[in-house]
Amino acid sequence: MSKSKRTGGRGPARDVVLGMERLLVGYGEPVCAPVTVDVARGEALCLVGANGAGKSTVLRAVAGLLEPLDGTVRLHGEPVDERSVRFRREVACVFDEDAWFAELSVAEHLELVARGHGVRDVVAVVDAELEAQRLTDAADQLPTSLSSGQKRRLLLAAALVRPRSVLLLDEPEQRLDPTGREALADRLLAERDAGTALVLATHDVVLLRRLATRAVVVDDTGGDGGTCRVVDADEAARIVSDPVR
Amino acid sequence: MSVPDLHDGREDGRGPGADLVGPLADQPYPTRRELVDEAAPSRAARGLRATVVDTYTTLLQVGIAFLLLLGGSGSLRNALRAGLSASGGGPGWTAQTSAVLTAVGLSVSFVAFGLAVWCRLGPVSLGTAPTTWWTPLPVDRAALLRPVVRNRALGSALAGGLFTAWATSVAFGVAGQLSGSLAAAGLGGGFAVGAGLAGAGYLLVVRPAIRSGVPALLRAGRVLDAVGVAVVVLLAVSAAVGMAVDAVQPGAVLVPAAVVAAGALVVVVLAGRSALAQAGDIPSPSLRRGASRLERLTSSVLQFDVREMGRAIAADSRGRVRRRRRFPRVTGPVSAVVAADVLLLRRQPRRLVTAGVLVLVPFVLAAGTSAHRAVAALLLWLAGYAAATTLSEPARSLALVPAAARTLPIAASTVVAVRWIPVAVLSTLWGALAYPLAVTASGLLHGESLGAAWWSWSLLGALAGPGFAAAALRGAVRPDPDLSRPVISTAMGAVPPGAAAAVTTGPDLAVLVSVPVLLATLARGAFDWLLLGQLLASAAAVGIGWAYAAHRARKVS
Repeated sequence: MSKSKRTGGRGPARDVVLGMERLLVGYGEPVCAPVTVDVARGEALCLVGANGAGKSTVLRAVAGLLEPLDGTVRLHGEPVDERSVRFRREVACVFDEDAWFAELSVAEHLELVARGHGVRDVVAVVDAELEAQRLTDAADQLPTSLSSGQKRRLLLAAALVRPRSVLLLDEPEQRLDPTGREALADRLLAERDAGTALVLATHDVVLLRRLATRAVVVDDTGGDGGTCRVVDADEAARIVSDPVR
Repeated sequence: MSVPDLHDGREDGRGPGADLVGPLADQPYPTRRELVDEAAPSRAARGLRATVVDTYTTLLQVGIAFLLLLGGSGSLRNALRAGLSASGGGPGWTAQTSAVLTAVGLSVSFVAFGLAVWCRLGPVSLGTAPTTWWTPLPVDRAALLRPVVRNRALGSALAGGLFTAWATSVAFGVAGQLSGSLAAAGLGGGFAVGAGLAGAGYLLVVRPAIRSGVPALLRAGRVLDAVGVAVVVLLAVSAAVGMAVDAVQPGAVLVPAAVVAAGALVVVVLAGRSALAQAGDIPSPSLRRGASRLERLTSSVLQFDVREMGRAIAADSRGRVRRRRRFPRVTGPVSAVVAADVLLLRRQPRRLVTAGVLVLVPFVLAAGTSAHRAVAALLLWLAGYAAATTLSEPARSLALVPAAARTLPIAASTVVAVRWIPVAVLSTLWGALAYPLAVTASGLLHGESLGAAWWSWSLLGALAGPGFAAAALRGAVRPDPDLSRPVISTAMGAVPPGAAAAVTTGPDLAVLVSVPVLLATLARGAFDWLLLGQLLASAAAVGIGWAYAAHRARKVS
């Protein structure tokens, strides 16, 4: 990956996948300043900010799960509609919610998701993902019986056993052990370098430094033009490490 | 910090040699009474006037409900009597005995299913807040739990007694020649037997809760479920083979009933003493589980949400491991959703069993009571919607976990239509069996001619199946009740219109689906024009159900 792309890719090669234009989110009242930013293939945009700043709310609006108060979110230039086939085919979400079919085991859920997306050689793909997420021993368990960290890894596995062009993750490092965090960073880095556009909310400085091409500082103060500031990864890491400053 | 021994006989929970640190470490623990006295003033803000008004309102509503129930029973009795006369049998002791046996069987089944629900809920529990508050405290639990045991035993007895008395009154009314005193004796006997069985059964169910814990309770629940199903099947088989019932004089019925009631009373006394004495020994996991389930059930009742109510009283999932299955035939999102739904039904066989039992219930009721043929249509409406509802759990889970469907590349509006498919297939089979069975007792099934042959009614039922599935789909994705709208005052008390709208969403479509069978019973045959009508009614129901579900999916998703 070239440095120019790593830092935001200002060259003509940028292939913008997801764009937010003065996106204002909240529940009746805005929770943060509007967000204007776009994400191209092979980029990772991190949302940083204090607890309750509105990172997850922005992410839910990007995923089409929350109607914006104002502004737009576009996928390949078209307004997002999470109910559409195209959106569901291209965008994989890892949010903090149960997203599995009742009465299906871990392996069965992954297999159905993969087959539903037309993946070939499903068994090998699923087994490899189970191994990568250290879920092989839990393959036959119901997701409801997993620990919180295992559930988190299952959600990630379900997003990774299927094709996608955009990956939305809400604090994916939460509830993972140190080994799991390390593996997560490696995996998402490989994902970014393979050309997926990543948008993730995170508090993890290591993940931020390794992964982010840019970051949005989500708060209610607004920066230039009254929108949330867009900063580079190093600045974002400094903000996360020392939020008071 | 050492853990206080809760069973050392001291209410402050301090065993000999307890070595505690922290607040109160050098003082005696407050007793339960002291804690209650401290908390009581903040919870006793209600004045005498409010209490009197509430009591008056409750008594008035219960009284009106009871009178309405009696009125309904009278109408039903008249309908049954009319059906019996129309069938040419005429009132008599044989018919009455058959009806009473049916009433007894259904009462036993009712009590068994009710006790099974207690097993799954946890027969003894407090609410979540009291459980969270009291159980970690080193106070005497028995004093907290004894009233629960006593009240629930009484409540169970009351429910069992009322149901049995009601069923007996309907059954006795079939003959229509009973004197007032005999009818009163039958009612009283029915109440005593039902109350005794239900009360004794509850107290027996408390025993495994005290001694063996949750797994034993769940096993007992499965046994009781099996008893309830077996009774219904037995009644169906006896009706199907046309088992002759010898006339039994009322006096002969009352003696065994008295023996059963006396036996139940003995069990109530013995098991009751034991349960009250050991109520404090119920383990915490059982209390916590019961509190959680009870809260879920209570909130679902308050919200008029029968979907959540069903989940609250449903049996526990079997274990946490599933034998891995492959899905070689799944080649896309549609087949993936269908495969997931079919597998859910295979792994929750109780849903299939329930639907199977519901095939028999209209038949048993119609055959056992010689009901008017129009009653068969009513029973088919209720049973058909209930069967489709129990089979539509995958669609219900759509509203509960919309994120699962979002993982597949399938439009939200398509998902609801796809989830209708397995339910429609099974409901079609259900209708093909239940319809001809239910009308057998009404003499509407004879010969091979169009309209009267088995296949005519079977086809009518099969055509109704997809419609019932659409009605269940509509009910599965309906919104939560809107309790913000102003209530309407009625003779039954205040009715929240938003809740009423939510509760009727689903059954209303089943009414449309059931119109042809009602006409068929009145016309004495499932003629071709009625088959066409059923086809149109089901098509309309499917159209409405899909459109509504797709509309809701846009909001749910």
